[in-house]
Amino acid sequence: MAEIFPTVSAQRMANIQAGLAELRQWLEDVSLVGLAELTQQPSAYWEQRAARLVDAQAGGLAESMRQIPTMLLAEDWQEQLLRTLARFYLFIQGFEQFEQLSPALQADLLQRVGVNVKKAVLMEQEGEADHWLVLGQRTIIGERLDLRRSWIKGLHSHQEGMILEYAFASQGFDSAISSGHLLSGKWVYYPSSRPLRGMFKAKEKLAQESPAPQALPDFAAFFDHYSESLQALPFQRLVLCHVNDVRLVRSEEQWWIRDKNQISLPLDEKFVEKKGWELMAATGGYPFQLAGEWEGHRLFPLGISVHGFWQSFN
Amino acid sequence: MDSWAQLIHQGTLGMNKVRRMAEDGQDPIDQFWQQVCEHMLLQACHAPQAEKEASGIEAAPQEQQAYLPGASYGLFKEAFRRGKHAILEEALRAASQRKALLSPALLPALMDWAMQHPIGLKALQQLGGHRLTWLARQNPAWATLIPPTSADWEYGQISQRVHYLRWLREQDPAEGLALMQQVSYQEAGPRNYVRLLDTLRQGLSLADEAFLMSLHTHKRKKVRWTVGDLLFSLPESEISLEFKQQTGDWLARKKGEIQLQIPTEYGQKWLRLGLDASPLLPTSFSLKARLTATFLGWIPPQYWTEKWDISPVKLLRKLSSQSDAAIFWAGWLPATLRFEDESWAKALVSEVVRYEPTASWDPLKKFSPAVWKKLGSLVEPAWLDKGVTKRLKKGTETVSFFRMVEVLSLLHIPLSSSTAYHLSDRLSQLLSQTVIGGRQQIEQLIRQLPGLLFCLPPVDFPRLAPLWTLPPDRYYWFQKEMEKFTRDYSLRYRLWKAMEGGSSSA
Repeated sequence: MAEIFPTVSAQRMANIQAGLAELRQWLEDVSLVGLAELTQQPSAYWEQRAARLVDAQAGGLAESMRQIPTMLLAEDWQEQLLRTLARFYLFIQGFEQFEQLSPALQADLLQRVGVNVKKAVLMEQEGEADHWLVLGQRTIIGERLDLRRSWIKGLHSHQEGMILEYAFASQGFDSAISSGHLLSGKWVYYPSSRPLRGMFKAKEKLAQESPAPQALPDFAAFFDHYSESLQALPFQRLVLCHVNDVRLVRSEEQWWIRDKNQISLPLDEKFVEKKGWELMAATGGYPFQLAGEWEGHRLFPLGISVHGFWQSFN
Repeated sequence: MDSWAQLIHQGTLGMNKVRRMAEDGQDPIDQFWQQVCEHMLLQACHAPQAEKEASGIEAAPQEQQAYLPGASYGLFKEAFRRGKHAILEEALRAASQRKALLSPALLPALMDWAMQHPIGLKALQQLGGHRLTWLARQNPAWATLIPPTSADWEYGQISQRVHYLRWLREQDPAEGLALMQQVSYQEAGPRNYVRLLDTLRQGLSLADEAFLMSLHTHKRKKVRWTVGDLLFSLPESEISLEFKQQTGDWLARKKGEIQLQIPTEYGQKWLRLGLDASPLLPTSFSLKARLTATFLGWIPPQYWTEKWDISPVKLLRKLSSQSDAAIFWAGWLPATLRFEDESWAKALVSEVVRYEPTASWDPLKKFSPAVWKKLGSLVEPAWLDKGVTKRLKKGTETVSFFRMVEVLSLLHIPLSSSTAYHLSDRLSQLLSQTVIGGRQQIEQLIRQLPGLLFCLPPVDFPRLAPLWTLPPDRYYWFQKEMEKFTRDYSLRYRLWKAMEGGSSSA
């Protein structure tokens, strides 16, 4: 069986390290001149910054850089930008200690910069057999490339997983994986200290409707889970928030999801704008089970179950 | 350690501007990023504080009615997303007749759509149930989609007051009129007063005449025009009778021809009530001609056929040879729609099918598709079906067949399965032949297919397959149109089939 952990040549490693050193220098410069200065930059500036990372063979980080111009249009752009740059900083710090890290954490860092794990190697893994519900999907339309995250959950193993796909606009994504589909198959994870991303070795769509899968009881339990994730992978941005017994609440223009202990998490503004009322209509003021992407400060709902059956919000 | 807000402030301005000295000799830049990262991770790991006061949304009442089958959900969603208004109108009407509810998640799309395409409170209630009412109460933008309360009248915005008054007129026209009579023009203001006045259209009857007559000489033009519109909509109102009497004298039939004899000074009184020059005639027509068209538009067309003791079909046929036929069309067609006269609607349809497409003035091209669609709604489908069957027997390779297809594509009247089958069979034969009337005629036919969609029953999709299994090389110029037609027909068919399945729970 081939080694599952990705490896890179000494030359590429040197290139990546040089690219990260340049990124660190840029972060230092930014902290001196201030984030406000960045708002004046044209989009070509960010493209150039992304291109520098691609040149350093760290293309995986380039995508985060390309998202910054959109971020600058948000009302809370300062906070969002600071978080993004801090994640770069955390990543650089991690990479500077590469040799001392476990193979799983090294794999996380290498995949983050864009080193691929061969699918053929993944396919050699045993995999977890289960019935998997596609809880929801989120598609991010890029200028050149579209990205789709599909979040799945095993009905028996209760394992979570995420399928990350890229496609050129004309290509489209794998239609066999759609929100609300119940699939039977074997799931394998990419190597990671906190396995999440993965792929199906084999899958088959089941005709039946899926019951709601098991979820965490409340937000306190979710934050315990999230905290564990961050301890393992501090620069991780996204996790699945899958919680039972929550309600939708609304005050003025702000929309929240509140759990049974009255803890509320704010909903993503883009979601509210496009799907807020749909969520309100579907839940009708009743408690429901929710699966969403948690980005550290905003919740983006992907799917819900109100009366026992799953409904997605693509 | 600095607070998160301080760090954001410091980061935004930059350390050059917020001068700080490191206390422990550490690099201040490193120290800054360390603090940001620590804060970010600490924040992320802790759940926010619980709310002390639990204010929530009261849950919607449970529904007793069944929902439409789940399979229809995605298709309705697609129809809303693609803005397929005609398909939606038809499908929502069918759903409402089945007394089945739409999936709750579709309600926001339905309500947004209904704001632009009013389908009536009753139909909406039928489709959305309690959940729709509950949802509309959460969002003031949808307030006019549910039955109003007296609070809407007392404290609401003008749209809510209009909504309340219209609703009251629907329930009890006399009570609505009494409330309108209490509205002060000064307090409401000119624009709002006109909007409120216009609600009398709902449940309009001779009982409203006295109040309307009290306003017909109002100083404000908009008020007078609204009053005129309402009074002329009542064929038995005193002013309508007077108007009919006077205008009747201007038209005469001599040797079978209709002649206009408009006096030089005419109708200042009518002009003050808003009977302006007809917008349906181009300005190349004289002002007198355009005013005549307007006047004709406000008299029930039946008046003329009774006066001259002639059927609408015969009258229109005689008219077709007159050079000024356009003036009469521009008056009688709106009058037919306004007074919903079925025999005139049939006569107009029969006549327009006969028109030579090369005629200098073709009614089909001069009136909007919405006008023809409304005319189609006045015609009994069985009558049209018979006419189409008769026409099909005469053969298809004639100009008049193409003319009939063109008219059908605008009327949106559902044909019977067998007639639709024969029609589509003939159409596909025509489209698959190499050259019929040349490329232009085929092009015209293909462009009419989206309109023809609504003449063909949705359940017969598989039977109509010849229409979309034409060899692509025969219509490669119009591939896009054909694809659009097929996609729309397929959506309509699947929606219909999905609704036919058993109803489901939520």
